[in-house]
Amino acid sequence: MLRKLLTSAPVVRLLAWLKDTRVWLFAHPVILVMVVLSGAAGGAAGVPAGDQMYMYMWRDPRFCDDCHVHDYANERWAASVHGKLTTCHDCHRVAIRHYPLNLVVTLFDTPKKPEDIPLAEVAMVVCEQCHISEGEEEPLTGPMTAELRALVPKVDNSPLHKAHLHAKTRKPSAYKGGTGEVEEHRETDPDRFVVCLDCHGGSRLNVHRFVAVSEECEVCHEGIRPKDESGRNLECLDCHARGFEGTANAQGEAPAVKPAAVSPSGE
Amino acid sequence: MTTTPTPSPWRRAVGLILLAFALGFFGVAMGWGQGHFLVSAYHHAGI
Repeated sequence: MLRKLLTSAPVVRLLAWLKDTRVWLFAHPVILVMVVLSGAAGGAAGVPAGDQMYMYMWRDPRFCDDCHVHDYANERWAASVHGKLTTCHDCHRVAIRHYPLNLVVTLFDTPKKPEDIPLAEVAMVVCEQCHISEGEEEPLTGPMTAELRALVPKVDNSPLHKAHLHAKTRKPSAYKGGTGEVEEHRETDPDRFVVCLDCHGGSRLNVHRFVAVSEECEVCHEGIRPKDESGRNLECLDCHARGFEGTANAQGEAPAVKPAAVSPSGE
Repeated sequence: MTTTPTPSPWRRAVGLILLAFALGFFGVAMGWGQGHFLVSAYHHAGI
């Protein structure tokens, strides 16, 4: 097949033209020099364009949205503090094979509804690289700078974060509202340990809701949410926010420089 | 006998110069942009 291609009329004409042009250029050295310089100038002009292309693919969420088309996720992320400090690649570690594989899937097995698309799981180790002090020892290959990373609140000394992340089971005691059953809204193994996305992820069409809400707490802690005098449910963080607060470093020190987007609670 | 008209040398030169510029521009833009992205993606998440 390759031989057939190489002997086809257009290819033969192209090769003949290239040979003729080479001979002609070497017979006109001044023009040859001008052509080489022109190619170099084109290459030099292409560097900023290539840089722009790289910045779009690596740092702009619209690149991912070109295929994934999840406006709701992009908007919620952009409105959060993560939108000011991270890019998609910081948390969604996408291997190179993802791009051609997803092109094939898009062409030959196009998802018909949101449920056909697997959820984007974010491993705890990704959150830990910024949100625990030991994580800073891990090299970060994403676009976030070291200076910004140092300002991210750490949960090392947060008692309630530690209580959840060090728990040996997802099933709290009955005193804490445990029932032994976990709502399978994320197709998760009910016996695995608690991970960051359990509280900070959001359900399928509610992703990038980084702030934990009471409904997420009630997945495991059922029936213990108190009500106020008018009978409305109180929010869990009304009482437990301080127990979950993070600090800029493990020693509990406040950041020296606090970007406007970062609140004491981390959102 | 008729002969095939040949383009003037300067017209051919201008065409080759423009072609060289375009090839250099797109080659470097694509190579730099895509190559840099592939290297970053590889270091970030592997193959």
